[in-house]
Amino acid sequence: MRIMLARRFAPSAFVLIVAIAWLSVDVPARADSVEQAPPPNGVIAYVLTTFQPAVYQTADAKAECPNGLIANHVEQYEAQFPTEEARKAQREKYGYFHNRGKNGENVHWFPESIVDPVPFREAGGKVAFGLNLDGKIGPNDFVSPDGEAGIDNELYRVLGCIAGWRDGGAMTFQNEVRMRDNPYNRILFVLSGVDNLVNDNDVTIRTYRGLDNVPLDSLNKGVPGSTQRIDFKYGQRFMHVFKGKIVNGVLTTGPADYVMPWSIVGDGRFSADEQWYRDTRFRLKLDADRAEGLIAGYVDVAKWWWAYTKRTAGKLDDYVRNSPPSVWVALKARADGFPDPVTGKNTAISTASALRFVRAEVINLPKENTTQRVASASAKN
Amino acid sequence: MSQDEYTYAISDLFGPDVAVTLTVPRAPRVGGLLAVGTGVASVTPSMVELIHRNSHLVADQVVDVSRREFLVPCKPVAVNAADAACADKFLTTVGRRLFRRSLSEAERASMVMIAGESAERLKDFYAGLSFTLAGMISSPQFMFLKEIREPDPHSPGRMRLTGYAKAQRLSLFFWDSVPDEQLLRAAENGDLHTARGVAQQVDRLVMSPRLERGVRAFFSDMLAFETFADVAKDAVIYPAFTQAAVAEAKEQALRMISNHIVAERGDYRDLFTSRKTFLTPSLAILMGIAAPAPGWSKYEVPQDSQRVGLLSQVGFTSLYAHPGRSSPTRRGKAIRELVLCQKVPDPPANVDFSGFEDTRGKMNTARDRLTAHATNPVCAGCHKITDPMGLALENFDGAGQFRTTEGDAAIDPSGTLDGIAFNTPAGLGKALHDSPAVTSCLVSRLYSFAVGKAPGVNEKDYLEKLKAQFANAGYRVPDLMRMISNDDAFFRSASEPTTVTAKAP
Repeated sequence: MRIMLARRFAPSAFVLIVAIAWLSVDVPARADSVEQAPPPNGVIAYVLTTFQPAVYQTADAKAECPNGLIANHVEQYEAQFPTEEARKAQREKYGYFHNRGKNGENVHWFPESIVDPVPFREAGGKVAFGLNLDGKIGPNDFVSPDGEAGIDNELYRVLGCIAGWRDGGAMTFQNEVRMRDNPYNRILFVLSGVDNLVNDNDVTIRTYRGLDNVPLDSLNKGVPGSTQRIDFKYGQRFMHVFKGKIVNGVLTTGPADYVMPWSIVGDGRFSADEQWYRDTRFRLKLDADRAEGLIAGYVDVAKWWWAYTKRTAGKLDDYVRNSPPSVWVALKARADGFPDPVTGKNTAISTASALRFVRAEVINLPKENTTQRVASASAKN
Repeated sequence: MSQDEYTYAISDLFGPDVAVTLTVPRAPRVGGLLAVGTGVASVTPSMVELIHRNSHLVADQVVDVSRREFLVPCKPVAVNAADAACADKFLTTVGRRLFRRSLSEAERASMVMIAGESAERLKDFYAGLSFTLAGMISSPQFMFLKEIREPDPHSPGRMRLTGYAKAQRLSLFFWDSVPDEQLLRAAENGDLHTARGVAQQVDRLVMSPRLERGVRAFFSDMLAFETFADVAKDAVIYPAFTQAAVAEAKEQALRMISNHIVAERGDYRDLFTSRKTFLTPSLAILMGIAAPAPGWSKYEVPQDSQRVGLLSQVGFTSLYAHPGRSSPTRRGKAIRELVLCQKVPDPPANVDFSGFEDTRGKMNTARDRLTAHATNPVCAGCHKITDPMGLALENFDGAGQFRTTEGDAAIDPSGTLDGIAFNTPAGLGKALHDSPAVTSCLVSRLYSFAVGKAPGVNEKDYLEKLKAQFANAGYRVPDLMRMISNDDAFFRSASEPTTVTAKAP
């Protein structure tokens, strides 16, 4: 898969694509080789094991970040206070370099209290992961690695040149571990009305928050078939309904609003939060044990910012190599959807993230998903 | 002491929340049981160090401020100084349970003196107590299960176990732990030298919830479950066989056994055909179903399921398999040796397994490969007695997951057991249920486990009597335990020449 992507889309022959190669979901699934039996009662459930903002990247980053990665917090601080005397005075007056606002404000909480001296470096290039959210092909839209035009992913411009959001970065690690290991983030997808996992023009997808851990194999990958329970008590706001269709083993949903649990710091007790998506769509390659692909939509800028940097309040930024004032300004500038009816300013920004699910056995499915697979009924062995 | 005996002893004396970090090495398996192998013990210097360290950790927990209120039966006059009276009260009480006998005056005086000197030096009464207690827990008097004999006044010239030794044997057999206060009193009163006194104590031991421990200990030993510690599976081939699943597979088998044998007082033979088991979410994945709830749940497999009986559980089928595939031979050998008490010779050293182990060739199934392998006359003899049973479990892969095919070929689970044919895993369970060798083996092993030695040739008649009693009791294992422990043979020393007279049942 990785080689195939490089051959098709690498800007030059020597650039190695190191992006998340499995995002290429429009490759026909196993339809051509495997006849998929319909799931029992037309219902199949999956539990999320991986969530990663889809940051397209090349090995040397020159294609997407020709001017290099962004200046991080420390570098901005050093540029803001260029002499040792100035730094000493700032430290003596305000205590910590994060408090580099004009009046000593912590710039995580008050990102507009200072303008970063080193200009922000956005991700550029032509290629990005994502979907065409607005149905248009504009001059600033990206092309997907598989050649699909009109890709809307402005959040990628903001995050693409921040080290922590790229492969091996701190945010990549946090998203990987916390979304998988913290039950607060347990996301269940239940597909019902499925006559065929390869082709079905009318399926319903309901999302829930789950309560149980996902067993992991020795490679830390989720094991298909785990037992899950829906959180009906505290998970109401994560319940949504999408309509979709399956073509050649790829599920595509229509747009709908979606609230996703997103607790990415610690064990979730102090940083339980969420992302608010508008016009959300899913494109997932399905089989009987797994679902992989993308979530794309417009994410609420203020909520995203709160969940990301205000919640962490500096815990992560030093590792992410972030600089809050720059990122906040860029976020607002690149917001491209859902204008505020009063100010006219966009409140949401287009984005895409990579998802991986494994099959789950949900034992407390509500009736809306018709019947369920339960232990006593399904066991044959 | 075994690992469980040590852990239960500490738990019974000081409470289950006192953590034990000691890992007791495995004893050699002799006569099919570890319990017989523990008759000979050796301790390395490093083991002594570990015992010593754990003893201090346990003792520190016992006298910790969170526990001393209810574990130390008195308060010192001053916490920063010695208090001989209080130390004596605590050490005498605890020492009696640890050593399974009353302490001598000299021992009491010595320990009180050590506790006093330590308290004065450390300026802490409880630290002195802890130091002395650690010494007692490290002592061979606690760690080694000695059986003291004394002249038998009713049989001049013969020896018998002391009352304390009898109490210890009873408690280990039924509870897998040290005697409680009532057993020690019965030992001191001489009750355990009378048939009536023994019967009274046995009735009490059998009715206790701790009986489950004894039953679990016996079946863990009989089925060689200590080898679960060595189980490793290829994570690429069996991703669902996680570390959690290994521990839970063992526990699943033991819960199934203890539920059937103890809670339901079931017929031992029905263990091979029972549909009642237990599962966790991790095991449910391997069983291809959803768990009814988090944690452990009781579960009854459907009537059309082939996962019937103890041997089709994830525990047995995964334990007796290779890391990346099933093994009809290992499973068949385990059934022959562990369930039927029949010895299967080891393979010759120069056998070529390459053909059998090549799963890429035309021989898709294990049956195909074993059939080709067994054309070698050197191998055929043993495979004839192992494979027909092991092949019946081929519907379960190396991780205990149900399957109907191997490669592209359908699995044929037919086989025979001593002339009885079957064609499903459930059929194998039924054949074992009906085999007299199964109950005969259980009687022999349980007796051997109880007395710590393999049955002698002159105990054949006695075992025949036990078998008949076992059958009359509806093959209830607790009843068999009661029969064994109520007989004079139970208290014969493992090293004593055995002369047993068979009595009519």
